[in-house]
Amino acid sequence: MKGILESLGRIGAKLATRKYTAGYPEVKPELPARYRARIVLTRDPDGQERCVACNLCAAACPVDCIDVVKGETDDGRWYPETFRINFARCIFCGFCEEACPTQAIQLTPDFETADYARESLVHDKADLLIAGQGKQKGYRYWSVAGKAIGGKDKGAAEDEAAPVDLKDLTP
Amino acid sequence: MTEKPLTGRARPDRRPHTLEEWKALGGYEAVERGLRELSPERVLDMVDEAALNGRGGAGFPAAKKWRFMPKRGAAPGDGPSYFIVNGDEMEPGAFKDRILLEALPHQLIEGAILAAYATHCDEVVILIRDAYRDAIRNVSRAIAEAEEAGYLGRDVLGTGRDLKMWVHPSAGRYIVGEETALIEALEGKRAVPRKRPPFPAQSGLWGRPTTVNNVETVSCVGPIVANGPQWFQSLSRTNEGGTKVFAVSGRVHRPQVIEAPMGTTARELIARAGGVSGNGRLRCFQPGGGASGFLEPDALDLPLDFGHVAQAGSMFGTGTMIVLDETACPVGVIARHMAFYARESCGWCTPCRDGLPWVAKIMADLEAGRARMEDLDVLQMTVEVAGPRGRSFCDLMGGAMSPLGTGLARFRDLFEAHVREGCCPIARDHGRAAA
Amino acid sequence: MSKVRLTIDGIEREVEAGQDLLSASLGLGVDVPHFCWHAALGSVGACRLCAVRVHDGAEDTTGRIEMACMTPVAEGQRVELADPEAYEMRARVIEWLMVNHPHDCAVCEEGGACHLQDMTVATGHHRRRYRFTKRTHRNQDLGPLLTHEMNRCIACYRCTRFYRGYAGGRDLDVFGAHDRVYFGRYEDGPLESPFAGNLAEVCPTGVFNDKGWSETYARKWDMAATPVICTGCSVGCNLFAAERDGRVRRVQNRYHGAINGHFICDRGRFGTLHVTEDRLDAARVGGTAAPVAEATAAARAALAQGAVGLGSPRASLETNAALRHLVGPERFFAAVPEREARAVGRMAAWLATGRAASLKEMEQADAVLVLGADLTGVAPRAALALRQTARGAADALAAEKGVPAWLDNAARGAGEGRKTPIALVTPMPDALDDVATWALRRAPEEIAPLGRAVAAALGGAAADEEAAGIARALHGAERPLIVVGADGALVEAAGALAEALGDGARLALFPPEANSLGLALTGAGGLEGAVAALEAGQARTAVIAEADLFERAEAELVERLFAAAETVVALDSAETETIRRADIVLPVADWSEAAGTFVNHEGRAQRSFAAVPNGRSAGWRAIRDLCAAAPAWETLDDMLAAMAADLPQLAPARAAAPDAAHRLPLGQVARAPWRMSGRTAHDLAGRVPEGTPARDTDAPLAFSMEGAHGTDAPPALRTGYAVPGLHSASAAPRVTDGPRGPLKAGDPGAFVLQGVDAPARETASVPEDAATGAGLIPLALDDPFAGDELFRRAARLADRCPAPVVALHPEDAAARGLAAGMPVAVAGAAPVALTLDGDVPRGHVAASVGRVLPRGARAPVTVEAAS
Repeated sequence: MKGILESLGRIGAKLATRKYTAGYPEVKPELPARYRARIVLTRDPDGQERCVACNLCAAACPVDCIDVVKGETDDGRWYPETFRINFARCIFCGFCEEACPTQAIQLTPDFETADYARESLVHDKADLLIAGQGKQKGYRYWSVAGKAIGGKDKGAAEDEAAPVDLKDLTP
Repeated sequence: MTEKPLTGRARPDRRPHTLEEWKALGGYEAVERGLRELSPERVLDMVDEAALNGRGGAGFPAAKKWRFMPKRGAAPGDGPSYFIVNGDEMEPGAFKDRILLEALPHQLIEGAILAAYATHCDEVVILIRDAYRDAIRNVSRAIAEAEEAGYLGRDVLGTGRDLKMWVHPSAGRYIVGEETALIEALEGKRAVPRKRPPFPAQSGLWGRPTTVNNVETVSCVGPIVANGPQWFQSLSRTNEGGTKVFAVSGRVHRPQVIEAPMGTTARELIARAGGVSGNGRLRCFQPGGGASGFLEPDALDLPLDFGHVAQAGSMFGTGTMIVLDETACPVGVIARHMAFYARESCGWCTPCRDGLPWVAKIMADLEAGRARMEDLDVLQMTVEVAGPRGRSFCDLMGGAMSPLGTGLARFRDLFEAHVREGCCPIARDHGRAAA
Repeated sequence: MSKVRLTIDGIEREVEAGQDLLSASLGLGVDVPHFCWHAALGSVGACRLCAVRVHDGAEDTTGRIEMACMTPVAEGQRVELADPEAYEMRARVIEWLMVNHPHDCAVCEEGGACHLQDMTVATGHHRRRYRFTKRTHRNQDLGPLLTHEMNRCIACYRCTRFYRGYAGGRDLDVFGAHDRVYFGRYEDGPLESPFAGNLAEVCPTGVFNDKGWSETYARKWDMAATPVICTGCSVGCNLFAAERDGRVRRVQNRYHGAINGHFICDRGRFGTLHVTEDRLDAARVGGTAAPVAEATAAARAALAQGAVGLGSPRASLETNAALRHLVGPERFFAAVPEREARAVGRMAAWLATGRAASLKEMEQADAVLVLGADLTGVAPRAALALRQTARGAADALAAEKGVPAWLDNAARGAGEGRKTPIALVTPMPDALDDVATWALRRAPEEIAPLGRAVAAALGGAAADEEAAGIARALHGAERPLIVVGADGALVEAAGALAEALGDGARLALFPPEANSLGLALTGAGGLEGAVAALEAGQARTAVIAEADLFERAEAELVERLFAAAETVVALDSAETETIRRADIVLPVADWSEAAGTFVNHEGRAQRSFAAVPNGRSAGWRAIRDLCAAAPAWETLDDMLAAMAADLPQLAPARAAAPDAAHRLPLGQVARAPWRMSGRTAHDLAGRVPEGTPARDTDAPLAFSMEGAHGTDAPPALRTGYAVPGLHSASAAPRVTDGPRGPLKAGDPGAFVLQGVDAPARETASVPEDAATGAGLIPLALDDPFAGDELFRRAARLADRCPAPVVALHPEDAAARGLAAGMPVAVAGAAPVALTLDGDVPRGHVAASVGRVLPRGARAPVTVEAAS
């Protein structure tokens, strides 16, 4: 009996407490950067798309909602010819962001992604690629990869020595 | 002569003797007697009784190696058996074979003829490092003289045996001095060592029975046959027979080759080399060349032979000692050694090919004062994981890890001082080049 | 084979004696990490990754760290993988390899199927402390087939050991020393060996990869794999075809202990990709596109007027049987000249005596006589096998010296360069000359007589020096082998030799195409019979299934067929000359779209399955629809039952693989791996509901990932090796019985030649076509890259194919006023620049098969300057 009265009392006290109701949508909630909502593909500091179509995000995705098709530019960069996410399936777990080795795919706090037609929930690269670097500033995968691309020759990445000259007779 | 049987007859200007000049000094008597009066087995037994240990670095008893060689026709397959004289001499600090090759080629040829006789070999290859141009020329000329005199070629001295001998200049890398890599090089392949077993006596040059011995080892055979194994034993102070052509270099006033009894001490050798230079006080020395571990002044009276030095935790190797005084920084010396071994790696196995350059880079950073404490862990790791026998494919790595391992063990605070003080404290304190 | 008992990590095991510890462990399912060891290349001890602690017995308390690959197994050995120092050493080896390894996994094709990745995970090394610079290398352009990315190299030396030691190539080697070693060619340019493609699988990292795959890239875990049979030649290598999105992306070796082992040839690896480029998609009537139904109706109408059927040596048994059923046995012929049909028929007869040698048995022969066949061009994988045969004598000498064959470098050295006696008798210099003891050049007409002379010498008759020497070598051997191609006289000579040599002798007979033997077993006579029937008015229509007649028979004969037939109905998957000329055209499936059974050179029936869903109809289905009264052939199994009823000698072919109703506990065998991604987004632009996965009624294989995975699938149905933690070709040794032995569950395939009668000796001499008339006698030049009608169309392989060749002896050329480089036309064919070659026998013109002259060309031809 005492327990019931205690509980009732605690509940009843709530009638008098201050309400903290946020007046959405006029007042937007302040969400931390790590909040997992809208997925974007970001660019590196030079404005080039970061995604190299490695497929790790697709592999990590627990619902197989990411489809990536690799393409290669003339100067050797790997990039996604197709990058498609079916947001009708996506559970916003963030595994893709954790898996990504180039900081390309990121989840952002923008949760306002509802739509009217189911078909328009399948987003392609044009819907995902943003202009900026997202949450990760300064990272450029090609600066640390060994594969040479246009503008970054062998030996020009960070921590690389100049390419070996095979015709060099010195030991 | 009896005090320095190997180098005693060398001219001061190292000009070699002609065949006639050499015979006038007693040369080729051992060959004549050996081939005419002794059986191959007797010659082998004499070398065994003389307790001749291989002078190329490993110290393996020469006769024991020779006993693996099959008699003619006894081995499967067809073809000659080969005796190879290893004159590659590229160990840092080693320059003792050079005088034997340049100044005393007939002595070597005599020894090679007798060794080939004892091991039932039909062909002798003398491999000489390409940089020893004078040696190549002198030995080649001596071979031509010996052929003309009938000591080489067909039906040598009427024994019914043919013996071919020729010089092969190496293409100039350290690993060619490794006996199985040497064999690969002679076959025209990359000088990458082979794994043993099979041993060269089972499957060597072109798959045929082969023995490889160092220049100095082979040069001993003539005197042993001429004067007998007891004489050879008596030259030594220990139970390892003969004299040794030692060399002393580094911080001594008069670096030189010194032929002295096996078992001579470092104190005596350094004294004969003019004593320690620099500030005159010995810090440490490597008894056997660049691939041997450091010993300190407490080892100055150690009898220098294979057994004693091994017991002291180092390696007798080629008997070519490198001396450091207190103003020579061991870290710098090790750095130079590591750079050499890293560069001379043949590239076959992982620890040497990829581990040594890392070590060399850390050592360079240590010398320059850029290293970190964690780097010392990498050095220690490399010593422990790659140093022991059997970890790498051949012994280059084991050799390289000897100065590094003993250096870390004996001079740890010096290594740490390089890190803490951001420079070489010895160079700083003594105001001169560290090494 | 004796056994030894040893202990691994405390568990007592029994293994075969005489092997190395690493092979033994892998065979037991103990995953000792390794790089440089390879099942086919033996042990060399370079990488130092397989470090384990070995104690010699109970008394040995300390043990030693040794490399498992270099350690022979011994009774009472105690081996510890989990020893802390061994574990540490393995992790350090990975750390050292990672020192220079580029941060490339995300952009490396090997990722996900990379042995270096697998070993890194296996050893536990995960933290980088190397802080200096990485050495880098420039790459080379090695041709249209393989990529080259040298930064990734871990210097395991597998590539040069395979390329030079195993495949006999010369233009790939190692340069430099220490951490600058470089594996490449002396200069940029295509790798010369027709087995270079195996580098993509031999290399444990991403240095060498399939260039075409890189362009249509999908990760290994994202591709569905199907067991298929290569149809590029008569060997029938087993392959995995990897598909994504309805498109074959890559073809790889599928281990078969008796046939291809760990390697295939470039024709199969790259030629199979022709299916993605070169498709006949539309039916035609009278040269214009028409719906399939219309073309089928038109064809049925034409068939009602009496038809002959021409079956194909590259079409499946099912398609050939369906056509035979359609037109009746009397009217069913082979789309090859009578001469070839007879020769292959005789091959079948001789193989039925139980002397058929598999490629594995070829490797074990201790004396070989090759009569006339350019093995590298006719059956490339067999040429690779013969290279291994040549090592036998050296391995035997090495064994005498106590050096086991698996200690590869030591065995080669100890073998003193001895070669198994191999006599190679060919008109032209041969790619295998360097392994031959006798490399004899003889004009084509002299080869069979030489074979007969050797047979006579075996019987004691006098013979010239060479024949006598060869006879002595064969006589002294325990496992002599005779190798020939599809030439009647040579087949008889081979048979006679085998009989003279007795029970131990084996025959390796290589018909021209993947199913030549299968077609021969239907009893079909040659093309001439069809032409005769048409010219005699017995039939008005010709139905040609999956063969270009112009590739296989002389133009004159083919033109007679086209002239005599009122209607020519042709079915094929690609546009050939026959298709262009046909009146009614029906598109049918290529190898990737339909299941089919093929009989290889040993008489082994093997089943290939559809690699892509929703493809064109199989040939036999299109033929079923041509039947006036459509038979009840719904599934492949129905067709196989019908075939077995019509052709009892082919009934054993049904057992080549389990039928479509076969189920494992978890259902059908799934083609797609569990980790296949993108399933819910794939191909869904603009829509959400996913489609239903395609069903395969012809196989117990599912196109989706639902079903059974893993190694319990029967070997004929395997879609991968399914070894946990091993995602590359390095997983293969875990599913075999010994590094080069059979698959643990048995090598797939079913032999069909038991029922064929033993051959009566052909007492009448085989009628030789008289090579009369003016002109030069054609000498066929086969080529490993260009040798197959369809495979040579694959774009990347086409880039690699050498230019077509017309070669004359300089004196014959001079007599005709022709000079080197001059464009010449052979029998009016398209012009080719003339080569002068003193090796061409006088009176002959050497010309590329299929591209200049048809395979069956016999009659003398003119060679004239092209206008």
